[in-house]
Amino acid sequence: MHRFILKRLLQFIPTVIGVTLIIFLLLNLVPGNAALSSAGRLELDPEVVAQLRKDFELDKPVIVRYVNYLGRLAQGDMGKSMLRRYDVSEVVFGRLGATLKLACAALAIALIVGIPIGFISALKQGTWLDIGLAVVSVAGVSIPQFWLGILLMYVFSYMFNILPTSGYGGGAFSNLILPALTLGVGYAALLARITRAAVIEVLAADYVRTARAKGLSALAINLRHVMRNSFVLILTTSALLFGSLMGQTVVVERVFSWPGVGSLLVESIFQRDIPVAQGCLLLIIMVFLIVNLVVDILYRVINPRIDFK
Amino acid sequence: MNMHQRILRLLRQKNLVIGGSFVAIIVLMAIFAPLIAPFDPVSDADLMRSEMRPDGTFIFGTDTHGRDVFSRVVYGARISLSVGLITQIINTFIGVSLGLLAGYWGGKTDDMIMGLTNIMLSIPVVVFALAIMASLGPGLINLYIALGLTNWSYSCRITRAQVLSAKKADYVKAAHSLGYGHIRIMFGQIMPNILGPVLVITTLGAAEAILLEAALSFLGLGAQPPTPSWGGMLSSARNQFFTAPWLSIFPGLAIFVTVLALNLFGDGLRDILDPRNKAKNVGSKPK
Amino acid sequence: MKIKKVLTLLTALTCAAGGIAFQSHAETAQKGGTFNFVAPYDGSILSLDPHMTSKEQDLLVTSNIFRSLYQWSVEENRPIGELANVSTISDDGLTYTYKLNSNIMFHNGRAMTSDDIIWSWQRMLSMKPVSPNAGHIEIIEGAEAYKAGDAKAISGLNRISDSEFSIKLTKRVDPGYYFYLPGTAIVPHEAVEAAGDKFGLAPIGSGPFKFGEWVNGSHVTLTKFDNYYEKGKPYLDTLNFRIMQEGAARDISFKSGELDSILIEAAQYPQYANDPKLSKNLIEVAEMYTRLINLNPKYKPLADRRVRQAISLAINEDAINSRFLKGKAVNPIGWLPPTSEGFDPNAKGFGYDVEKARKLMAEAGYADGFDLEVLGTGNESYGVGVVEVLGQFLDDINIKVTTQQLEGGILYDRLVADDYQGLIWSFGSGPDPLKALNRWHSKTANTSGNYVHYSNAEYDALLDKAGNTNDQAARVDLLRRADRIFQDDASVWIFNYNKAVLASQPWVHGMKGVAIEIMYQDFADIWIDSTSPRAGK
Repeated sequence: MHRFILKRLLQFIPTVIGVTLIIFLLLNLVPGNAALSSAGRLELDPEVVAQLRKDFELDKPVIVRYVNYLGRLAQGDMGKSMLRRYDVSEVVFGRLGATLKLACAALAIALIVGIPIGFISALKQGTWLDIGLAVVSVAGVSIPQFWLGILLMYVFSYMFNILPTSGYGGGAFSNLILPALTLGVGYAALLARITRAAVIEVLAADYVRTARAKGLSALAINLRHVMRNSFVLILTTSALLFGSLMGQTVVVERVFSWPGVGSLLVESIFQRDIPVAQGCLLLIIMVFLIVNLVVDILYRVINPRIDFK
Repeated sequence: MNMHQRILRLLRQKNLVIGGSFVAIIVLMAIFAPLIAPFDPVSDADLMRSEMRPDGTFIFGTDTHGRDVFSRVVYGARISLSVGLITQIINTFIGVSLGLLAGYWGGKTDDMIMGLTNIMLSIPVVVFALAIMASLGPGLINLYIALGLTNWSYSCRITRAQVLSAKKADYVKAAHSLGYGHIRIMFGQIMPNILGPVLVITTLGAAEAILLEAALSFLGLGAQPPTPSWGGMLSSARNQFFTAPWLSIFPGLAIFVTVLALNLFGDGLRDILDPRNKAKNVGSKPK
Repeated sequence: MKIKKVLTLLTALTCAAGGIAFQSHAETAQKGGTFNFVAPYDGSILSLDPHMTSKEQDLLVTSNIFRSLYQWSVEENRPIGELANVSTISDDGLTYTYKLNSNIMFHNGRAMTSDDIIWSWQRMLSMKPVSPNAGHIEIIEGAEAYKAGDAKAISGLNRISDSEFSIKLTKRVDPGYYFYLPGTAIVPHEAVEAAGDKFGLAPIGSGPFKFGEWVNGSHVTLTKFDNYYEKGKPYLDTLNFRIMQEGAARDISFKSGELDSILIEAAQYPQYANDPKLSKNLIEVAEMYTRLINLNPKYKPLADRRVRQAISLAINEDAINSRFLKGKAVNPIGWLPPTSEGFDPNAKGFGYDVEKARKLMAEAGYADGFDLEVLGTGNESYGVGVVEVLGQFLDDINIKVTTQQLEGGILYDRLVADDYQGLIWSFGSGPDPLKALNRWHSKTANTSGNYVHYSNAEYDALLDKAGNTNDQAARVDLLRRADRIFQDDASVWIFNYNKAVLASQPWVHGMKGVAIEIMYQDFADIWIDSTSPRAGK
């Protein structure tokens, strides 16, 4: 077990370095620069621009900047924001809580709604109920999120006037509902489909058929065997989904003025505040990698028989 | 299994049939757009008829520029389907090639490719595409590139897994002993086997790409105006959500129906093609 | 329209009664309560340190935490002394002596002295990286030398006593136009020194509101400053700025009563303007931004004045403004907007005359037209969307318009490199009309604002003369003549001045049409009555 954890941790490092390289190259190829953007509208003094360019080392080659960046990163320094002029780590970590809260709430909605739907459709595979649920759940994945968000806002904040439209509102639960719902609906649908596939697979497995042959009631089979064996698959899938969820926050957070890493990423890309954009991307990816690492290890703990290549 | 039974089984896959029919309708709409659309989606603009409600002439109303929304939605099928198709061709090409290389050669090549795949998997597609679009700038071609380069890790993994199991299979061993070259074995023997799963991924991926186009349009990095892309139309109408609802409802529905159809079709394909499901069908009660 | 009448009436009353109208206004004002306003521009607020940012999104908040030497007066339509008043002006018009108003306190309880003014402006010039607002300070003699590190102090900025100081300018201008900006605000040195780069996270100023809370990306909360120097003000206890980029979200929030006032987008404007209830509480103003397409004279067809005039004649700006921008724009005349002091009320725009345009095109030898690629951002009011509409009109004179959407920074690079044919944007055209027109002076480098290399000796001469006269009426007359010349040369195609619109709830009082930027509301004067759900007890 220790060897396994160690091995996973060792795999972690090259992945992180690869990720930083891709992020760095990608964002530093982005044309335009923060020096301009920080000066506001296109009304600026060329001298100021030149000065800002120099102050942020934008005159050095990309490779030199990457090596410097990696060196600083290794010491836990994510650099300074071009526009805010203080540490990137402070800017991005200040936003992480809100994003994690949103992503976890959305995942909770996805699990609570998605898994039962998936189970039912698997058990009723091929019937009209299955098709109906498939359509409903596929419908969930098929709505552009910003559209859904504005629609929900209209219904719950304006028509019924029961929920605040947007913002963090000091962390109140009522502010969390709409963005979490907007983000969660698609994932509930996705999870329903994944659960359905997983359950169908388990139902087809030998031991379930053996159990059936032994004459256990259908319900008992469903509950005991199917659930336990599908659980592992759903757990790993959820971990994978979590990364994608973190990514989707870029849209939802913007619609709802949710003060998380996603909205910060979009803003900083548009403002060409590259150090902050790098920080946001790195944070989003690190959360995903860590969640998956933990789940992999948990998976191993739950089910030590599984052979990892 | 005779022909009759095969057709019956296909029909039993209701999602495949429903999804497939809708996809077919949308494809036909895209192909025959000039025949269906009463107006040109870009040049038939007239400010004097800006934002008219749906009526007999403009059945989906007109947009702010005074263009026929129906014609734009019809032509939009071309844009959205091309986004789905082209990005998936690129994705599949990259994914399958790398997957074949990794699975067939193994060793260092495999480690490198799987390392890269892990990195790709860890960067959420929206975010990755966003960063690429930011460096390339908005536009349809750039959109193909951004979405084509970011979502190939699944097909890569699946291809590799299939290759690994196929390598042990007798027919590949036989091909080896017959002295077939690597390329011939890869493409002649292994490719046909991975076609099914890759087709499923491609269909679902096309649906995802269409949604991503909408998301990127919302963030200001989609296709350029005046391109009649559904995502772009929906996103630019978001301030008129309540004052001119027809501007968002129709492109929104178009995205919804297309993505829904592609998803249903993909699910149906998976049910049919997945060999494990066949095993299940044997065990289940005859209907 | 009604609102404007009321505003005009109010202004007239104020002038006639000499402040009495405002006195009575203040008497009826109710105290207390919470006001929920928006910060509608680019998303997160970057910094609340006024010297570190030049973004409207940030400054619309800091302008209520800090005060600058001058303040924009909506009633007088120009900057007036705020923290200090001019006591003398030297004969050459370059040296201004100021007396600081008494009782000005910082939020930390210390009284402001003239040293704070000197320290604040020195900080702007010496900070690394340099303040994006430093350019405004450079109008003071010796500021450039100080910025370059060649001097220990700004030679033109002198302390006379704790409450008196003098400013010597490099040229003859009204200093108010440089020192009214929220980005030149006065900061307490001890607080800045203690906080360093993080001063902008918990700022301390001398404005009507103290900093309360800032949830980055969501909102900023300010609270009433009890020792504010204007007696009895501010009225509100709490002021919230909610960050809301999405027009649809603002619209819904406003209608559900969550927000007290919002900025309106063109798409929502007709709905508000036509609603009998909502329209009563709209404030509209022609902001001092002129929207234009830069026509590159290095692109051969555009070098011909007749072609440029034909473009202006062939396009129906009114149709674009009323239909595409839904009336949330003011039709164009010259460079200066109607709110500018130099605006000529008798001047007329090009109008819409396709026949004349065709004739001019033929005269210029372009009867068969040419291709015109216009670059722009995705901005809804002055981006590629507007260019798309142009095609409808320019088709009539055989000009084929294509567009390319680019990001702002790239657009700027293309603009200064003359690497474009047409480029759509919005430029500041106020508040100082001389400064605004000097942009097109042939001596202004293209990188500093004269992007189309405009050069007309007659125009230059009029501006130079205007800069050297003390006679206000003569000055305005010269500026008007210059503006007309610029308009007639059609070096840029002007299509409108932004009409900025704020919608407020019926319980809101004291919002004003601030022509420099409508979001720069001075909340010292704003109050809410008891019908507000957030009224004071």
